[in-house]
Amino acid sequence: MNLTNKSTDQLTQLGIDIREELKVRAIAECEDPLSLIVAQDAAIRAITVAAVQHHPVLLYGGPDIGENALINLASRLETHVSHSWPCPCGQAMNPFAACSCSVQILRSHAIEMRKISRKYAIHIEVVRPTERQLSSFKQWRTFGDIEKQVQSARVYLPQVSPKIDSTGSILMRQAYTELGLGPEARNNIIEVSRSIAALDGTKNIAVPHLAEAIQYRRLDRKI
Amino acid sequence: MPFSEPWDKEMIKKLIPDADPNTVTLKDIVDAAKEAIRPDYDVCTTGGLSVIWTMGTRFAFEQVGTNRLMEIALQAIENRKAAKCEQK
Repeated sequence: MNLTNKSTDQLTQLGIDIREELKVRAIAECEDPLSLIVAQDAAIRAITVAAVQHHPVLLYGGPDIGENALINLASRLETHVSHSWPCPCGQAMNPFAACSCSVQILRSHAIEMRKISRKYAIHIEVVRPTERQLSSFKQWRTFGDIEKQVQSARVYLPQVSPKIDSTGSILMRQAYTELGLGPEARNNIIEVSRSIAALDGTKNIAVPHLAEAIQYRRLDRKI
Repeated sequence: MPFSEPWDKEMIKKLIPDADPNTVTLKDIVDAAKEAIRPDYDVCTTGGLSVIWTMGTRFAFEQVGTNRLMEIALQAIENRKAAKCEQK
């Protein structure tokens, strides 16, 4: 590439792009992707659940939430993860910064997000870790542990029945009405519940499995 | 294999005063938290994380780690104590 005919702005942009690319490559080449993820237990759990049946995951959160590390973890578990901002400026969920979007923009963005979210079985809100979490972070599990758990759940999955018991049916009925779900979302919830039950090593979908699967449909809330 | 973050021993002592923080189980913590946040919310646990949920007019689901669960339970206990003081 000939750099001499580039303007200063173009060179600055190129420098930014190279640094970003190097960061992504360093994450991808890291031996244990979990060592780069701090205090995102809920997101790691969601990716683990999604990985059992290769369900797509939508990460919902502003900038600097460690999305590259989470996407890398998911790709190592053969699952697709996308990252989306909660509003055009990206600060809507950040308790430490003010969001500059108007109510109207937030509303139209939420409607747009709801359309996009239909393609994903699991939606998860991810927030930026606090300084306390970053400074006291100690890795207490490895990628190998999660991989082993996902693989054994994949083997166990065919034994898990998709039927829901009577208590679960009541919960599901209420979720269907309150969240305004469609048949596809309902099927996704049942399939995700099966994955959770398989991770738990049980043959039937219990209420805790269903409750966890329902809370993965955060973007289905009525607007 | 259940996954869970290292638990905050100080919070365990506050939530379950009789329990030994080194031997306490996730079930003990969840049961104590359940007791504290009822009847407003219910709790269930899978894979080391808990889902706090409520149905009816305030339909909501929230997945939390064990330390956050204890924090919410202790806050509920504090709120109840404050409400009792106000009544008196």
